[in-house]
Amino acid sequence: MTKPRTINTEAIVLRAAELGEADRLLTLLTPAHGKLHATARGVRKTTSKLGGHLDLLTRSALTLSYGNQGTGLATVTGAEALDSFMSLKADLRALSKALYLGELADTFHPLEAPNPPAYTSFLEALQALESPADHDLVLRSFELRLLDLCGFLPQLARCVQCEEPVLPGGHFLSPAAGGVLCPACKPSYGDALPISVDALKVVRYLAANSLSSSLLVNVRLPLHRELAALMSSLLRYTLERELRSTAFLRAIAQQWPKAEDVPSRTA
Amino acid sequence: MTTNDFLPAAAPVARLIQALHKLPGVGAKTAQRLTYYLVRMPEEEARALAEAIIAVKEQIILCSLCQNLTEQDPCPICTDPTRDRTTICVLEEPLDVLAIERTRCYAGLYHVLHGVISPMNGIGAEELKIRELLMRLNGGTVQELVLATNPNLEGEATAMYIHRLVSPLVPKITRLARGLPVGGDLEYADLITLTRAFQGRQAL
Ligand SMILES: [Zn+2]
Ligand SMILES: [Zn+2]
Repeated sequence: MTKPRTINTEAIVLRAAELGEADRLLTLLTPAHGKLHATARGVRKTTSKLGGHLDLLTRSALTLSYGNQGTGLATVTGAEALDSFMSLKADLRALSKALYLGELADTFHPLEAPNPPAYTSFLEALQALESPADHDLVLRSFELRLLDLCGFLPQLARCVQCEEPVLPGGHFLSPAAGGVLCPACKPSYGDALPISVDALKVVRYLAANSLSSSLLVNVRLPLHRELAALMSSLLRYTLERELRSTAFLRAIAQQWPKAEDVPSRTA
Repeated sequence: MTTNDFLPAAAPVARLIQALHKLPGVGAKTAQRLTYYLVRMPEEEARALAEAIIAVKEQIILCSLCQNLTEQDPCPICTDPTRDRTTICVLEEPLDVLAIERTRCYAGLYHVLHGVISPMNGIGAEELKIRELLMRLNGGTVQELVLATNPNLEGEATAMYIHRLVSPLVPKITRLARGLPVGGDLEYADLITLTRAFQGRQAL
């Protein structure tokens, strides 16, 4: 099967690496074509008309052209920004979270494997980071939805080992086992972490519901800490590494713990 | 694509291809082409090139004040008595200093960060020359800090981050005017655009 010579698609720019004299190699997430690489020629020149439409975390309507044989790397031949997420980019805390989501999306999506619901989840998460919603809840919801859509969601209803339904209290989550464990089965897995009833409820709810429903949940700080730690060990196990952007996420959260601490560019 | 795709080649040739391939903007094919060009080059020319590379490594250091590349420390700009010592312009790369110097519209000092905050590439504030900037600002003589990082997401994020850190230390913090198109690199800006952006810099 040969690819069409040009495709028109919307896309969100996940990565942009310098290439040659004035070009960039982009990593794009699209609804119908999955994750793609494409070159954007001359975009680092200030005379470039495309450049402004291809910045990181910008959603654009693109025309991608392939070579004569319809193979190889696509070149961006047309770009028009649909949403630049300017208010998100003007807020360091929201931006650090959006960059983390971007790296998460980039890491989970293999090249050219369409996953339209995952694209929608990513777009909705970015939009939610521009709203006054609980941004940590946006992260947790996106992490769980992505795990689910990519087939890595842990088993949350029954003990993974003995298949007994999970009853309140004394439960554990083991990334290696791929789900929750009852107290009796816990000793079989060294990585099993205690999970509170509330955390288990929230994780189950977020995994099963849309972002907009998930954002109705009211999560207090201690529970947020537990959820963040649980998701971090789950993702580290699934990806076999730590995401690079988590360092910046933590640095910003530590340096400026409250939203009002960070002046926005327009302030 | 790795250089191994193009082998077999003699070991020294492969080694040079690999070394050139690490340079920015040099793909595997270009590295190969350059290598075979160098193989055919007269020996004295090749030796001069190798020595020029060694000389840069041995003689070029970072200015302890502005962090720009220099042969002497402090650098000629930092020691120039005619420069305005109350203004510092913060830039991503040494090449950006050249771009702004070419406009002849700025007489203050510089500070080169040597990069930009890029969380997805694991580059945070600690990897940049931000601590050195704070030390310069602690003296209290600086009245204006011009944040002239590139007008793209990472450049803006770096400017916001520095703005937040230094706002108690500097009375006036400015950013280059929006005449610079988003996504472009400062080093590619034409003189008129860059001069206008500099003159129209806005307080943050
Ligand atoms: Zn069990
Ligand atoms: Zn200097």
